[in-house]
Amino acid sequence: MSIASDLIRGHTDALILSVLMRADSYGYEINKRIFSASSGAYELKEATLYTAFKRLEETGAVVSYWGDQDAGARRKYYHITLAGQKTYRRMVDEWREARTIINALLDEGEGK
Amino acid sequence: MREKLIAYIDYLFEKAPEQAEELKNEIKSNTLDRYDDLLSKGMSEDDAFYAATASIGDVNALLRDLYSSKPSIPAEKRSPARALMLSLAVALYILCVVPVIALEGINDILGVCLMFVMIAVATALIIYRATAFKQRKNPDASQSEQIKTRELNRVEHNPAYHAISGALWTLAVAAYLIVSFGTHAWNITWLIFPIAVAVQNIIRSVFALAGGTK
Repeated sequence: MSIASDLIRGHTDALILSVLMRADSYGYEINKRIFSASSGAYELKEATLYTAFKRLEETGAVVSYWGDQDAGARRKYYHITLAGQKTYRRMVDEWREARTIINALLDEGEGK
Repeated sequence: MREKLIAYIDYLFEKAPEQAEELKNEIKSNTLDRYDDLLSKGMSEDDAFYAATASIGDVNALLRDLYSSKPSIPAEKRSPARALMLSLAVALYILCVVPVIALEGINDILGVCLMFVMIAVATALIIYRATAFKQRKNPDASQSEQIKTRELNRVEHNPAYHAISGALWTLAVAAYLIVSFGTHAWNITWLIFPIAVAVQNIIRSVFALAGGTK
């Protein structure tokens, strides 16, 4: 699992953007979505999450704003920008390409 | 327990830089969300507290990752004010003999007085520059770094001490020459140098005492 986690961690930005493609969201909810979408197999570390948020904000892929909850602490929401949507599509394309190549290469070893 | 969780996060960010305030609030709201969520799933308050705190992870490492690319200390060190002060001080040291030369034969005392005033101002500038822009100590400096810092804080490495010591010897030489040529009492004017040594030792002990009380 830990090796798989390492592989997935390289795609943190794409995972976060995929959640934001549906709707604006905040830290805990984004992580919960990733957790449930992977059937509980993967959860981001908080540190990874905040580092990714900062990186995505700096590159202009997302913008953030503070929500106004009546009860409890205010949440910091993230919204994907047009540039961010483009980045997301590019990441998906790149992943599909890489997946095809890696599948083909690894299938060689299995003699398929 | 909820208050304890808030207090815990505040504690984690106690030594964080000011710009991390927003990050702290974000982590706080997300951690509280997780805590409330775990409680609603039937987890006990204690278990939810530990699970929520465990999820935060290493805040120090996170802060290092986020802010280490923008260290504030070198920027301060390179500040124009700092550079200007040093330039002014050096200029004053160089020009301090001008009043003595210009006023020679007109008003010797005034010339010497002006020279000492200029030297005093220059020295004050250097001391102010060294103390006002002192490096902020890294809050999570490792022990070896702390030892290094202590080593640097020793009197011999203190920039203010260096400045004063340097000025003292310049002054001693200047005083020796002026008094000697003025009075022609060469037989006793050398006493200025033993006096300078004594003064330097006094300054050194003052700095050592000041450093010890820090």
